[in-house]
Amino acid sequence: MAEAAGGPLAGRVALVTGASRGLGRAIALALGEAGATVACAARSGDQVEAVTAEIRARGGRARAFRLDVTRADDVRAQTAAVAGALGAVDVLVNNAGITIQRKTLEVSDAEWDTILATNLTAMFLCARAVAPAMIARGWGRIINVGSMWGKSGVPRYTAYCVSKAGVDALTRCLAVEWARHGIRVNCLAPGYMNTDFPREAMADERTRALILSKVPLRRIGEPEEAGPLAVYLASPASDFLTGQTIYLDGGQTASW
Amino acid sequence: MVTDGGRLAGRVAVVTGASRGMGRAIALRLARDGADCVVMYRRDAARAGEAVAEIERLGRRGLALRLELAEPAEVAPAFARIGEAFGRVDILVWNAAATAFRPTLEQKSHNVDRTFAISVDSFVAAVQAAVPLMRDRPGRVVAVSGIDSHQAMTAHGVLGAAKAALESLVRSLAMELGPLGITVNGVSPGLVETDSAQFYVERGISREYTDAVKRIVALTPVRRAGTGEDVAALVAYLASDAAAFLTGQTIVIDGGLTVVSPLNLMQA
Repeated sequence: MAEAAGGPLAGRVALVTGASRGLGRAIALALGEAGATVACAARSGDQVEAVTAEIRARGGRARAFRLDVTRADDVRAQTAAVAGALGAVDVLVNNAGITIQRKTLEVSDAEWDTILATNLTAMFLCARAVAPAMIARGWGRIINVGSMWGKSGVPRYTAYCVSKAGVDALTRCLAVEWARHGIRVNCLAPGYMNTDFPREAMADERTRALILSKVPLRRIGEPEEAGPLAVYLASPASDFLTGQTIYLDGGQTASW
Repeated sequence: MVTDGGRLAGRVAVVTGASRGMGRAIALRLARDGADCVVMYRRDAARAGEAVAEIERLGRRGLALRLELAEPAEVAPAFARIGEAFGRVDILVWNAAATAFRPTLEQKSHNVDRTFAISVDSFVAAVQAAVPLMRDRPGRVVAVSGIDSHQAMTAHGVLGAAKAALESLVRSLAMELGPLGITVNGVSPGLVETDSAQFYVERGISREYTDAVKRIVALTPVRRAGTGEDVAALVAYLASDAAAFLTGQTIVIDGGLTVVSPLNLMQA
């Protein structure tokens, strides 16, 4: 595909965590279409293989990696495997995330730890694993997937909101510390998107109407709409933009 | 060349303050992405004409249009002319601004009025005039704000207030125009080397420009000043169909300058 060969990310290697579905899948496809060689990482195999096949079918280059982002040893081993197979990572998309809906008083220690480990600590682990090679080459892009809930209080989602607020702070700190090495770090913070979790909530007609009434655009986002923003943040064109959280939310946070 | 997903073929863009600096870079970038472009200017007809000539060299239609934004009543007739010439408007980029750089206590009321007329009154008038021309296709409004909207800057008291008002309008208009498929966003640049930046440094804070730039760059995490092209690439993304779900935001593009703690700035 001519576009992939000459795209803004031609010659770059991108690692996307949680790439098997939803936002991660859409971002991986977009980066592939923009010319990047994409390492699609996920905990389990089949779905992520399908995403890499899709990227290749569109004329791009991709490979699947099994990665448990909560385990530091696995992060070290798999980022090394990516570098060995595809070359050092130029673009890291920290996307993997989970949530549960639970009254705060009923959240167990293990549940709290798992959400923080997956949504926040994992981003630190992955960034720490790929940054040395970025520093050595004087160029890198890190895109952390946050959430509009990182700046609001949502009952029954305490651990999730806390983890996403942490992602904002992680973004700012890494951006300032690594800017001199040519690394740019930004946070892409979606609102309601058409992914598994809101889709379930929106199956209920009343919930759906309530959610849509809060979004100025009167619709939820499609995962594919995160792709072009990720491509921009991964590209040389965004060189002067760092440390920011950009909300992709149909105007919802603007109307709070 | 793929340009950040932004293909604007057949679109009509209106950019204020487009004869030079950031506005010119934005207009040329939108034209490169395929848009016809109206170059609005106040003073420099010759440079506005040069910008139009460059737009035409890219194979797009261009039009230089003089508009005194301190007179909000002139805005509607100007958009009527654009409507006659192009039949539509798809993208409105509100870039022009002007103020008297002096301490707030020394601002005359006509200075305050003029600053707000340009950044607020005329912006509202332009959106009112442009929205009926944004037909059939997704409309885009992008306002250029600045650091002064949320952090105090010497001699920027009134302009900062106007820019804060502009960012507030971005949110309100996003809410109001969202159901029409029109997105409204802001971009807030840090130091971008333009004539305006030089004018502010020399006249507003009475410093030597090159030295001031060097000092700000040293405080900026990415260790350089911004360019019009940096800002233009972001505007081009926001103006594209690909940004359809992004609205009501003002995106700071400042090389990381405003995320650094003031304590850290002191050490630099």
